[in-house]
Amino acid sequence: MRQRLAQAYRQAPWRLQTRNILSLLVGLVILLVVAALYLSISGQAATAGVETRFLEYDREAAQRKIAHLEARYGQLTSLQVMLPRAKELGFEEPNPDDIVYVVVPGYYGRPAYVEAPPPGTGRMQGPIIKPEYRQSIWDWLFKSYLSGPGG
Amino acid sequence: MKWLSVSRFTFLGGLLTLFSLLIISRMIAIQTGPVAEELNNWAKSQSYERRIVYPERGKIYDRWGHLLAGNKIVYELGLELRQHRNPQSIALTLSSILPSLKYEEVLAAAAMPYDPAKSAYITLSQFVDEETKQKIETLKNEYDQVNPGGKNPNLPSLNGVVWTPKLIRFYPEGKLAANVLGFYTYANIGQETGAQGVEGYYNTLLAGRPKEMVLPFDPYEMQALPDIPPGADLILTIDREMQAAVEKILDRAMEKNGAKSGTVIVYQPETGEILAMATNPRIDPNRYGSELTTVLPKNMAYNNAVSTVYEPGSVFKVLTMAAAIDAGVVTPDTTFIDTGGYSYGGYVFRNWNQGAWGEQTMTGCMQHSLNVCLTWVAVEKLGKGKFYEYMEAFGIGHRTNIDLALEGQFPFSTPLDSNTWQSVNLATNSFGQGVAVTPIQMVQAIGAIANDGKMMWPHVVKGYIQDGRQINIDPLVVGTPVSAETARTITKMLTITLEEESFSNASVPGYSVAGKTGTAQIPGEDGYYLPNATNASFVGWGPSDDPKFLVYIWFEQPKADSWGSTIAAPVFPPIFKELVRIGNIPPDDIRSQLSGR
Repeated sequence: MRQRLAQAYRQAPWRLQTRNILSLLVGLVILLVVAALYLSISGQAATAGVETRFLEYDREAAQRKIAHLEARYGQLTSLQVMLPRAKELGFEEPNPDDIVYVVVPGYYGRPAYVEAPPPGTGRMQGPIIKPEYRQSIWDWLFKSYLSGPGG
Repeated sequence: MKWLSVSRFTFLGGLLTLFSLLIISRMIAIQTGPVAEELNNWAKSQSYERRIVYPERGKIYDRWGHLLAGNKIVYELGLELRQHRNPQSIALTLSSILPSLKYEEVLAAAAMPYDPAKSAYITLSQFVDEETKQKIETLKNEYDQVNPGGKNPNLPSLNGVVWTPKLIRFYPEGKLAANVLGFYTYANIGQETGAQGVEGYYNTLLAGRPKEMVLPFDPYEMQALPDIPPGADLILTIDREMQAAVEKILDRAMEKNGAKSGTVIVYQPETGEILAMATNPRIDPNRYGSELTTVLPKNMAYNNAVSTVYEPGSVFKVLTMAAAIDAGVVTPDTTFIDTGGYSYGGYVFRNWNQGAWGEQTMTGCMQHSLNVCLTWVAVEKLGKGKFYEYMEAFGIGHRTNIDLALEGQFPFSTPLDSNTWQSVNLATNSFGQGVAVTPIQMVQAIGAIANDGKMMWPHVVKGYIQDGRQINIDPLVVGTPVSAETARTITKMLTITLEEESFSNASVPGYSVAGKTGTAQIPGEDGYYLPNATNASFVGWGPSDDPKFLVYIWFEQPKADSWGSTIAAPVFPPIFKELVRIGNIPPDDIRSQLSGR
């Protein structure tokens, strides 16, 4: 009688096999999802890092360009360029006898040159990405659960 | 059959386990063995880039904000030997575009085999301008379309030719104020520095602070580059228009008089600001490498105005007379009977024309520039004690500490220097011989006469911008050698001198100006004065009632004539006319009308 009962409730071997395979597959899928997530985040971070590097290069290039354009502007407005241009346009240097001096109330002469510098960001060198976004799963597990209180 | 299948799986399992264990054991061995540290260090060194960021060199502006020194992009042209190359095509193209590159040299470089340890990259040219680089880039792109990657050796290709941008110093005004600006030795790779002028004097300030950074390659450790503040910008006291006008007049005068060198300084007596400082010859700082040796004669200073000492001659009499009047030993009306010679210390001193001028007031003595009279004033009226006390107060023998590189100075012998000073020095010094000064020393000293006795520090930088702030440099009084009354008296005497002196050529219509000529002999290497060689000088300031400009002119060894009155004095009126025009200073009558309103 006991043997009959055991036989009645025993799982069929193919069912057991299916269950084991499914369990293995579920574990594998979870592992693959985690790996894929990990790979995706790593890929995105790497892309962002490379883009940041390129942007830094772009910034340096832009700074060089600004300096170059300032120098070019200085050249275009230099006396060597401006005086012949002024003459071409019909301007003449004034004859001292032709100059008329008048008093202009409130005018105290040409103001002194003030070069207003662009405000700096005061940025110091340091990591751009917050530590939370730079942790690996292992770092997170270790910090959260395995390192104990305060760890 | 069943036995066979079990033993196969067991065997395979055992094999895989053994293989895994081997891998694990090898990993442990590598990580803990003797190579572990070496590998670890190598991995670390490959994980970041160590980079020194050099800030952009500060710019230099004139007092109104016109750029005098900036930075422009040039390219370093090179060859990446790792890339596929067509040496003939590269050599032919580059040598035809860049004449400085020789076909054979480029061919040899381009044919060099790639060796990652020894030859991976070759620099062909350091300073290729934007236009030339554009030409090369266009050609490279065109060739690349026909012969992608330069794979076909029978078709032209510039594959492997690369360029890297960088900034170099650029002076948009060319030669203008070159003696004041100095230059930047950008061609001395690795040893670039500011030299001469403000570039040399303010090199540290202009260069800024380079910063070394460690940049990790790990994207998770990506660093934000900090702001590297550029070098400080300088705003000069120089007025670009005045400088250009003065240089033009000086160059024209040099063509006429054939002098070895010429110097003009325009100084604002009230503030000590240098408005213009011109020298001839001068170089184009953009081409300093070639022009330093071809334009500047050997042994000639880059900026004679501050670096070269010379015996100034009679312009020095201004200081002698100022000392005598301030000491109260003479007045402008004190008379002296000039017999044409004065004996002192075993020597007889004579006038410039060897003549006797009879009875003269002190104003007359200055007007006719009488050595005999001034010797009498120094020896009999002032005496050595007071004379040298005043000269010390005028800063003679001391540097002015002007903010320009390589200021010269020659020790001034006084009675305290028993080895070098002789009693005859007092006589010769009184009319500007036996004393060596730089033009800027004379400007500072005589500037006190034009500024009510207050001697101002001469300077060329009006302000600078550092760390986001503009710091302006205030005028600085460095001494009061004479009283305001004395200063005005001397100015008045020298104004009369110019008005009445028919041969001075230095009067300016519409403006009252004070001035004094100077002609001095030049000592040779043997210590004796050279025959037929003089230094011709003139100092003038005005308007006399409120001096806005002091102009100092010096021509070294003019050929057309030898006198300050005929060589240097005629240069003063055109300069002064330009200064009042650019500075908006109306003529005396209009000024008195305007001030009376």
